[in-house]
Amino acid sequence: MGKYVLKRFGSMLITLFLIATVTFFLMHLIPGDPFALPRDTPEIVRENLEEKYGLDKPLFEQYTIYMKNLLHGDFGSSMKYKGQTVVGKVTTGMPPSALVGFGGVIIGSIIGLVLGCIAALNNKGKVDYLVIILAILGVSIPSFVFGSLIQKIFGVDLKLFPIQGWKGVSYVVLPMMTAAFTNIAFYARMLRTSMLDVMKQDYTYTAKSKGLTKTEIVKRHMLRNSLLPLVTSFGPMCAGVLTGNFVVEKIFNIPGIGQAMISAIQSSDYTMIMGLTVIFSFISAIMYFVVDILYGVVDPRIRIAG
Amino acid sequence: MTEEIKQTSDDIRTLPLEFFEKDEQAYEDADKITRPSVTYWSDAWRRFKANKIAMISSIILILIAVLAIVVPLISRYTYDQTDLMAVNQAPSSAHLFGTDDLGRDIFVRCWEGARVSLFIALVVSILNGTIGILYGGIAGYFGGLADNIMMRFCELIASIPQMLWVILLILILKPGVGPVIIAIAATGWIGMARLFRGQVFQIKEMEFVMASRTMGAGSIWIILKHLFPNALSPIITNMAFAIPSAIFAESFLSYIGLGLPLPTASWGVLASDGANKLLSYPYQLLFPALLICITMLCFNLLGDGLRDALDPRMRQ
Amino acid sequence: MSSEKPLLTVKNLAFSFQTYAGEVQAVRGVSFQLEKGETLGIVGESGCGKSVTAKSIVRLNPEEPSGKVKHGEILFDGKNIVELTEKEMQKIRAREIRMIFQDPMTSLNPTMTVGKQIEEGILKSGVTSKDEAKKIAIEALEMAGIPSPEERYRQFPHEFSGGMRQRAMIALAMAVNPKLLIADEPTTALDVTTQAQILNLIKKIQKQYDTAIVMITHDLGVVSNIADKIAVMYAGKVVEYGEAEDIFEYASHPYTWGIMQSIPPEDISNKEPLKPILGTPPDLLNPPKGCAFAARCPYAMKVCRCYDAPGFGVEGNEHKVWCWLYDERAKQMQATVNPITGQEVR
Repeated sequence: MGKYVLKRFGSMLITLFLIATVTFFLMHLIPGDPFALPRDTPEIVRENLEEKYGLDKPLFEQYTIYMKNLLHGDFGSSMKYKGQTVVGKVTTGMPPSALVGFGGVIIGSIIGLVLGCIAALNNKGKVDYLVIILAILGVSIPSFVFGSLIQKIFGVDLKLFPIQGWKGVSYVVLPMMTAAFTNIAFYARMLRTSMLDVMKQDYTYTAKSKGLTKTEIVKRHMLRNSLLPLVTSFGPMCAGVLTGNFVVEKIFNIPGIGQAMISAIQSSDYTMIMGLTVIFSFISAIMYFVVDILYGVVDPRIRIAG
Repeated sequence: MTEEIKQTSDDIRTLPLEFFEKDEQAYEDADKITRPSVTYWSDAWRRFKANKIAMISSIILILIAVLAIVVPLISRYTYDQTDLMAVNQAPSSAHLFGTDDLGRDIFVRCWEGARVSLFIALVVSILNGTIGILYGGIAGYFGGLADNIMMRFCELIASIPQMLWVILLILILKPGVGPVIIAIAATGWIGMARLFRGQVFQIKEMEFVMASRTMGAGSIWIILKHLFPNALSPIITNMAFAIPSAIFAESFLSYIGLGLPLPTASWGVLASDGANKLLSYPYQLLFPALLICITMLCFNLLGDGLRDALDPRMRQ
Repeated sequence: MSSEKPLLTVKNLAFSFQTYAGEVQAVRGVSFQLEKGETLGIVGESGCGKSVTAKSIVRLNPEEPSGKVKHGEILFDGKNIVELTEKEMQKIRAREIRMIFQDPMTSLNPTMTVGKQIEEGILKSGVTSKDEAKKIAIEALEMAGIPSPEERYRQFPHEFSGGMRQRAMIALAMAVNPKLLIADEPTTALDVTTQAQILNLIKKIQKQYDTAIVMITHDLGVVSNIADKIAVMYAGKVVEYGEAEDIFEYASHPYTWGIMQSIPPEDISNKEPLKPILGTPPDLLNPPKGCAFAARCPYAMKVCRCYDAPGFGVEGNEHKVWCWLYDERAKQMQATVNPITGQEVR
């Protein structure tokens, strides 16, 4: 197991390095040299920035400076707004994003898993069809449509929850519902499929042949095995959470990291875009690493092989 | 052992002797195959036809495609024709889906948008398929170090959320139909490459392929005769599912402000415009959103139907 | 055979599956019985319904709506298994009838230790103390010939070889000392040397515990040294039934002749070509009228295509064959020579 963790950790470091490199050069590929400072930039700001990023130096030198800064945890700062650093943006934006995102994943996955389980155990019954319909609807409705819809229904028409903003507990409900919606569909569908598969496995029959009750078979034998393939999907899911749910944050005007990215895009704040992209990629690469290790903990076959 | 197989026992006892004559002719036929052989495709088609939901989905999709082609041709409005005298009108007989804030007819814009969105989705799906098959095929065919490096590369790309890639690429390429296609396809092919590589590996190990190799079959023959028929079902299913996710990605880009430039209409552009005006003019979101949902739903159901129909394990 | 009631009586059992193409009649009227401590071998090619028959005894076939017992009864210790509630059935599975499966690689739960899986079954059979259950589980592993059972108890299935896993499955099944063991092709997925070991193990355990066994196989060789009785199945029906020696010595059904002639002889210098059975088994979606084997039978008569044959008694103890060749009228029309005994059929 230790060897496996070490191996995965090494490959994660390589991934991080490559991500940073690729992002850097891609950003400098943007036509019209977006990093060139506008003409009316005050002299003092220009000097500061040029010194910090070496913007007047050759590309490769800029790259080494950039990488060195990364190593020191400096992901850069805004070229449009003075004093805004990428790390600062992320630290202030993270709590609301994480709350909405993780809340959405947790609520969504729990409801989704329960529904998927019920559907699989009711294979071809009424509940099963209901869950299938829900799951397909869930992947067929873009989240901004769903979000706008519940915003109008619960916020505007019924006035149950505030429409937009981030000022208290009640502001969390609608965004979380939106974030949960896609997850419900996704997990219900995944678990249903994998559970139906496990149901046909010989070991399920072995369990039955021991005289276990249906509940015991589901609880002790089927659930764990059918959740295994889902663990891998947790990586992208969590990565998606931390990189901010762009759409949800935009609809409900939540000051999260997704919103930060969107406003950076809209104001063509390229240093900010680059910094955020690198941070988001780092976060997701780390999430993948964590999930892989978790997978090793859950599945004894990997534990030994690694 | 007292019971007997149930049958009309009187009949049996009174059977005349000639029934007990040897039936030589019958045995001659023994080695003929008792069940008519059904080809893979006719069998898959039969199963697909039996799947009512998938059939209805494909009919709706054909209908949408026909409307997308026809409506912009015969309508009295064009998609970019503004009319400041008729701004933000609710649906009426003059404007079936109403008009937007520039007085453009939303009905025409929806079908023009269908052209653009479906075009993007189809091209993305085909690109994903082609690149994925080539990449995965090469990796799978050569195996070893080449495969290792190629798959590491895929892993690297996949370790960054797809939407970040798309955003980065759009920033570089500037918004437009071509760039949107490239940006979405740039990461979309990975799923197909992994899938096809898996198929190649699997097929390389299969006994019937080894058998055919020992009989002197060349690589091309094996690819045409064994690999494609076996891998086709996951490929088609994967391509069918790529279409809704491309539609999804396009509308996401429009929504965060990286969509197609004005005055192009796409479903994403229409829906994100509509979403911004939801509170005052809900119908402006309703129609494009409905079209997106129906199309996505149909493609998803069609994908499910294709997967069930093409899976050889479903043959009985 | 004593006159006391048999342990298991299967009477005219029929089982069908619903598929989208229609009803597949997998088992079409099968009967046999089994005394305490006896072994019945059910032999036939794949798809003949032998596995479905066996699984019906423990009710492990897919339940309605996809699978259904059409008619017949399965009497085990006086109870009709077909009519029991699922709860009662669970009790029977827990203590009295256990089953082992064809593929040991997939029949153990990969995410649970082997010991835990055995223990779970023991706890179901009425043992309440966990320590006691663990002790029994380790003894069972040892009895199944698994070295260092304490250590093996804590391991996961993927740490076992195929043969070892099948031993673990046997331990799992036998740990509760069931009255009946159903073995569904227990050696098919194993290599030849392991096959012999597993068969010997089953035989040894049977002697020790006096368990009755239903052994499903497509290999006559497997049953030859383990079964007391043999039922030969074809297309969902028993075509020949009797004591093992009688079946081998006086094989009577043309299908049984067919399978015996297609076994390679032990004497390899014998250059005589094997005689395969021509054709393929019938489609059980629309089973043919009359004898299902008629289409592949070199001895077929007109009657075979119209009517099912009743059972005829032949040489041996309770030896029966369901074939028209044994009807008086067939013997009047033409003489048929039994290729196994070399004598005219009587």
